[in-house]
Amino acid sequence: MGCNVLGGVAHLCLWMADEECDLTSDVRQSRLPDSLFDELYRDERAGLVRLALLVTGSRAAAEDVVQESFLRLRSTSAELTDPVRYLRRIVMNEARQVLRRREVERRYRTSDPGLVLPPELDEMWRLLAGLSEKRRVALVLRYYEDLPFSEIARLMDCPESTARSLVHRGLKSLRRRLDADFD
Amino acid sequence: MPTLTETEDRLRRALEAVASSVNDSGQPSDQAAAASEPSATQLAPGGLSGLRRRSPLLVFVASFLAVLAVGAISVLTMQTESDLEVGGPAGQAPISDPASGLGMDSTYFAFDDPSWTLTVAYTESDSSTYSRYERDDERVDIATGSFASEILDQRPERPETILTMNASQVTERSFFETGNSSEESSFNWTTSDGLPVLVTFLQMNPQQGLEASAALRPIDSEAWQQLAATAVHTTTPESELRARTGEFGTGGEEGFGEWIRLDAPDAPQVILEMSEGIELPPGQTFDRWIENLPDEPTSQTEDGIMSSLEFHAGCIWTGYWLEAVANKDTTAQAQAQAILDDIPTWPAMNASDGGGVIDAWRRNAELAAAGDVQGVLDNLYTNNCTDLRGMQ
Repeated sequence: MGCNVLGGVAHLCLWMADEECDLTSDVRQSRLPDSLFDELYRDERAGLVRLALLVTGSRAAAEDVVQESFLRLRSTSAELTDPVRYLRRIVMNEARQVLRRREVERRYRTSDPGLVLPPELDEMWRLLAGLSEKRRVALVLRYYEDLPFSEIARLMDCPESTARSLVHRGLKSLRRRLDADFD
Repeated sequence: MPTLTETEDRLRRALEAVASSVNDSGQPSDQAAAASEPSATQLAPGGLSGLRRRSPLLVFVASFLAVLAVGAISVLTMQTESDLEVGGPAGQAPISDPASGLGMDSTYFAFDDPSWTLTVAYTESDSSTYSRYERDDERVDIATGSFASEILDQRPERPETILTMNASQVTERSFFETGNSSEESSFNWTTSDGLPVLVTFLQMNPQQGLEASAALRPIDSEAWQQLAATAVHTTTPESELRARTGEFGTGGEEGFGEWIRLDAPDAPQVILEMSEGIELPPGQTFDRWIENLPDEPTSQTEDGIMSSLEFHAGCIWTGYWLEAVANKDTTAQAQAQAILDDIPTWPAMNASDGGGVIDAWRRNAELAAAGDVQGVLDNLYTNNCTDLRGMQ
């Protein structure tokens, strides 16, 4: 299977953001104490905002994503074994939803909100924004989070070879586009 | 053109610069304003504090081999002998010790069988490796990481189905599904019965390689020959890849029906055949869905595909309804409404609904029936219909 490509239950789960249809179910096993939640919020929030920012391209959207993710963590009655991984996965799912919603908005709003990209941002950042959602997410996880391919695959719900391919092709695509810009 | 290493470095710096716009409290940070104004200092190599970096060894190796990496990709893409030069691209030093399989120029795989000669060794800037061994008219290509992905992309079967060689106790999968226990050496490969595999991953230090090679247990020549033959012959041209795999899902989340290779050349035709029973608005097609077929090896069951096609069609019909409202075309609006009312009964989505999907489509129909355009749009955002062809 690809990384949540083109439908199926997993894809619909991502779209619906439904508690009963949750891709994070595999990391739930032990209930989260309140004290741990507070600690997680204190320790993890900033890093998650950064991660969401890199995926969504918008700080406001990133903060919303992380806030929503913590709310979901707070409201879940499920038990968790690895709340940090659970959180990260929610954040990635929510951030990817933001990208997809933005695509819809771009189609139906007269004013195109697109990515909130200040013009002075690095060219690379602009090129990254132009990649497909999957390649962008894979590159962020690889080159910002420094995650091994096995973990990228888990977060993106795809085989490790696909994660490697996404990173590899994403990087090659950036390289080509950089070259085109030089020309 | 920038090298892959340069591209990687630039990407890392860009990501770090943007990320640094959020301070440790999660608020916008002054220092960075990075998302908007990365300073020259911040973006200069080595000038950004806290920048995540690879180990010095990897940086060195990646820099040293950056030029080789470009050539390596070409080799795998073109797949012609004439493009392969013993010892690497022209201008590079030849392999220093073909007998032991130890070289000077790159990381590579070595094994303790002098009848095989290492002829090509490359390291990609992402640390992926590609090694070629030859003996008489036999040849074996060994790849990891992105090189392996490139090779696997050209294979007709899903990896799980092609990599078993029980007779030799060596699985080809061993060559592609590796665990890298450290950045310097020791890819922990195993045979299908769990034994350590016969090759090891070596870095550039020949002495280190010699010692490592000496410690290897002797190769099982029969298994190695079989493996070599397979590695040479299983690279199948993309044109031979077929969407219909002859394998079937077993239900549950993967669904029933035949596994379809979505990256196969004939996948669009197969998808079109499957979609014939799904009604679309006048002039609309599933082209957009097909355009988004993945280019990496991907399989999905017919059930999963049908569910996705139905979902896609629902989005298009909603777009058609919105367009009809905007155009005050009451006939088209009524036609669309009838379909929207029917969507919650569509079989594939019902079969795969883990909760919420059908409810959302039911809600969509209710909003449309009430003439609530904004409600329909908001509901679409929730559903994340990314393609409403009729509204473009």
